[in-house]
Amino acid sequence: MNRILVIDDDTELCDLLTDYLKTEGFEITPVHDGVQGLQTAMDQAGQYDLIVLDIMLPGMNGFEVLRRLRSQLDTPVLMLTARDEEVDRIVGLEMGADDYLAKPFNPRELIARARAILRRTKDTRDKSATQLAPTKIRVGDIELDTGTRVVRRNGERLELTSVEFSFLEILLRAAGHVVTRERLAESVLGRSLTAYDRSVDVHLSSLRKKLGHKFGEIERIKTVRGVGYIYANPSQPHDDVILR
Amino acid sequence: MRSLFVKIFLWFWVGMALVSFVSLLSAVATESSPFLAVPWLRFFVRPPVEGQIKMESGYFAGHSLGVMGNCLRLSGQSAIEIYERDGKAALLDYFRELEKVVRIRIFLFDANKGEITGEPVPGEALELSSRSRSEVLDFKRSGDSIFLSQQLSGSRGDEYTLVASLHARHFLPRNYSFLTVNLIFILITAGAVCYWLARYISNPICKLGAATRRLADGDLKVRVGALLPKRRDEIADLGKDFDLMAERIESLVISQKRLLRDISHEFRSPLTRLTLALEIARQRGGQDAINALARIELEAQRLNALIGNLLMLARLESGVEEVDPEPVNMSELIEELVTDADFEAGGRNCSVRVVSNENCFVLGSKELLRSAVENVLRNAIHYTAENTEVTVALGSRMEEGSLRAIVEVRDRGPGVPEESLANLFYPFYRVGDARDRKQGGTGLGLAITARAARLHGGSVKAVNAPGGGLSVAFDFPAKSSV
Repeated sequence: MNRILVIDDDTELCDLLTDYLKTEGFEITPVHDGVQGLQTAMDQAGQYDLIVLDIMLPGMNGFEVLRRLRSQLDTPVLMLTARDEEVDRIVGLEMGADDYLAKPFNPRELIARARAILRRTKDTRDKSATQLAPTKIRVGDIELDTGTRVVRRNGERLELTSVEFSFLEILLRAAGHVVTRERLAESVLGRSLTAYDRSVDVHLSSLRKKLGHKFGEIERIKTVRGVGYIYANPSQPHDDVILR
Repeated sequence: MRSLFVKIFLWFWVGMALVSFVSLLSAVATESSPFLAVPWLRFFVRPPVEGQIKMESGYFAGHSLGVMGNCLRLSGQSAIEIYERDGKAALLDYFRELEKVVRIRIFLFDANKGEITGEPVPGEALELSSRSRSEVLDFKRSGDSIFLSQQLSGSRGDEYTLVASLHARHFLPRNYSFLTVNLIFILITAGAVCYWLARYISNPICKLGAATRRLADGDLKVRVGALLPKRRDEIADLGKDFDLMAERIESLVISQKRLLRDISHEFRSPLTRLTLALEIARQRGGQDAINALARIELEAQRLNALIGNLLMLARLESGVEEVDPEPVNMSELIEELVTDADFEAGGRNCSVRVVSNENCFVLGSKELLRSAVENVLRNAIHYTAENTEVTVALGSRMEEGSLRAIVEVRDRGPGVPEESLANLFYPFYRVGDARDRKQGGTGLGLAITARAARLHGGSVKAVNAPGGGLSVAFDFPAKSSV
């Protein structure tokens, strides 16, 4: 049974969610304001597999909850935003939310996203548990340690969200080759992209910001229009782009 | 000549110049000098060539001929006295002395109009002497000389006629251009005063104008109080009123923003619950109601899309939307949009293709530009005939020295009646009754497109393409590089 902490001030919605998700195999704990939600999440760390967090909350808004949460915990967070608050989504993802859904959401979509996030976190947990020797990947000035999940640039530690880390891992493993947006979405977000879905691009642009757009004269992560992204491999000339 | 500064300056300056000129002219005209101190004044005033002046004793300096006449009378009396007492030779000496000292030649005629000294007499002097009367000064101008004649009587009652020949310089200031210089000084001083006046009036108005434009551009924090220090006049009042207005607008916009957010939240919460309840109903085996449930879901989706579009339009209309301008790579944006749209069009066996693409940047909000073009693309996919292609072209052209980005989206659909083309961008406008609601859409997409385009300083136009189909073209101010 997957346990989900829902932080949303709409009590009626929480009741419906509890009712609906119960039959889909989720156990819901609803909390109706930000401060209390944060408290619950912190106190019972490790109890919840996923936190569903609304942005508009009384007491403390969703971003603040997310910020404080992320400084201590890496429980996956699915953010609920208003449809037309594009900025909210971008800010949320950059602050370390794993995915977002716009209200009013399709309940089936909520389940799909929740399962995708849970699958991904389980995968990474399993991987690091079963991996005999955690690998270090080094490309140019970036070093990524899959064991400790730490990224360093020239020895200096970078603060990446867990989603950004996974994106970077895939890009680095394929350095010098194009990784399609679909592959990134499927392996990191655990779902395929829908039309007009920009979450991969948002994560990537945030990742670029944190890594620095360029190292030396080379553009670090290049967009291959309509296809995907490529992490520049400094030891390999740029033009032999191979699709993987 | 459109600037207030230039207008005030020129009007006042020209006015002052005219006043000083007219006063100069009137001074000259009333002086009744036979000669003009300023040569160019002859275009306006013509002193008489000959004439008569009634002699009175009270002439003052402003009446140069009268003063001169009185002086002459005094000299004449002396001359007659000398002649009657010492004779002709003494008179001649006296005349020579006068000519030497004051450069005035004098002739004295007796009652028979014969010149007493016997010196040669110029024709004008003879002519004047023959017609002179008592108590009247006759004058006649000839070139730079002037002849004055007057009748006088001696101590024994004999009648004499005195004629004097004077030169222009006896009437004029030493420095001939004196008045011209005067006038120039007046113009310079007036110019300086007018310049200051014009600046004093137009400067704060320019500042107010600049502040108003900034307010119109969405800078609601702009105030002019600090720009007009130490003023206590109507313009300062206007500034205060402007500040009051700006404050009011700012608070209105803030509350409008809050209202929009609240509306968005309050509408969506019940919609979210509705969709959840719907899904629960589906779960609990509402097999019989499956069609009705699908219908409810569809309508809920439509309602949601409508709310979203209404809110967005309201924001764009009210100028609440804050555009944080960043250079948007149009070429990339178009590629992204077309990839998504092509995917969507696949459902109708149609495709979307970029036919030409040119690297250019538009300064603005990527999200707004995206939804502007996206709405047009979705519309095109909607109406293009099955198995056809929607084409998108991005180009640029120079217009009055600045670059414009042109995005053209063309479908292969039925097009739109000519008379409806201009109305396409109005909210809820539907072409005819045939392209009705069952075709979907909220009726607000193109209205949003038009507002978003305008917000970026651009425009959007729809025309029926030659060969069928609708062609919608955007025109944005652009840059060729960041």
